[in-house]
Amino acid sequence: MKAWIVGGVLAVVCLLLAVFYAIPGPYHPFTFSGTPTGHHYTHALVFVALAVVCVVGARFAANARR
Amino acid sequence: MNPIHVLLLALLQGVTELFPVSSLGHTVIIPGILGWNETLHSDAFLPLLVTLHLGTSVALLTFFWRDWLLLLRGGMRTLIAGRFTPEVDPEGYGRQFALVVVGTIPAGLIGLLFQHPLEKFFSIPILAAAFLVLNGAVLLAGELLWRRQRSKEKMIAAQAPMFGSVGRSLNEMTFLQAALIGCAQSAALIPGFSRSGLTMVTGMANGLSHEASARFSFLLATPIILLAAIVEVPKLMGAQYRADLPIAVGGGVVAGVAAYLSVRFLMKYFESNRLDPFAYYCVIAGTLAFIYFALQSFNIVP
Repeated sequence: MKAWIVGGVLAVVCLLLAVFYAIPGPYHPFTFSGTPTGHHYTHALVFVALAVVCVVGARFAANARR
Repeated sequence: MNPIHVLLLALLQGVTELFPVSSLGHTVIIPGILGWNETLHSDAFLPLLVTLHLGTSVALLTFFWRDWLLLLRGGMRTLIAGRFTPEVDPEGYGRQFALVVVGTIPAGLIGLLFQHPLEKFFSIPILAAAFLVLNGAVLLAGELLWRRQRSKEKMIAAQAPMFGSVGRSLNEMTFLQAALIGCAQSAALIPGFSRSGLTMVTGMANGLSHEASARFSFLLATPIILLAAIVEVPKLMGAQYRADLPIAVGGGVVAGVAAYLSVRFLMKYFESNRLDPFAYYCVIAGTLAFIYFALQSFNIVP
């Protein structure tokens, strides 16, 4: 699969994970402070940062193809 | 908190964070030997740990400030252009910035998801001592393989070695290699394994020179240590930590000065020297600590 498509898909997955960790209610795995069902903004921020990195990576990959 | 304990822990953290001998391992083993476990498990230890890490990262930023400026400028230029062409990034700083970002992701992610269970499970002095011996073995193996690879390359100059040419600079590193070094960095969440040691050995296994490996290792250390400390800073505002904050800040300053002197020494040292003295230290210190803790568990020593 093309690297820029993989980057785009990963960016969407990371954004979904960021939303998942930001909303209280569901059980959040891999959380060690507060309650697992509370909001975990650090996790959400890290996944937003990863989504940004994926978007940037996808852009570089798309430009490299041209 | 006992000021003498704080001073010694700050010195220990500042020096061992950058030397390839495991700072986490030393902060588990030495208090275990000296009987400071109460200090380590007290509530006041958190602000101290945060300020020690902040001090170390400020020292790294101060030492590498010119590099970071060039990397950030190069990173911005390539980010806007969206490509790493020689016209956009003639000296390769933009690409190096991207390598640091790629190398930071595995450790950042694994640290976020697994740091607490790993530290909790492995923060046992005798285990840390065993892992310190293993760390020494990894350093020794990395150094020996690198030497063998280099002498082989000298003999057969025409043949390309398995991992590419030996003694390369950062500009020749691939993104996959940066990610591999980042993965090696995350193993340092286990007390006894050294972050800088593992990243340097992985860099050398991928053909980097000692100096380039050390430089990349210290560049990788800055964002990860700084971010880990910044995440914890809001906790310092809690009323329970206010009394211990001044002494913790003092510890941070001591750790920062020790870290600055350490990185200055190490960058000079790795221009011409090798990893094996640190490997021998880890094996000897780890073995002695292991024997001590084993004897302690049988009540033979206090």
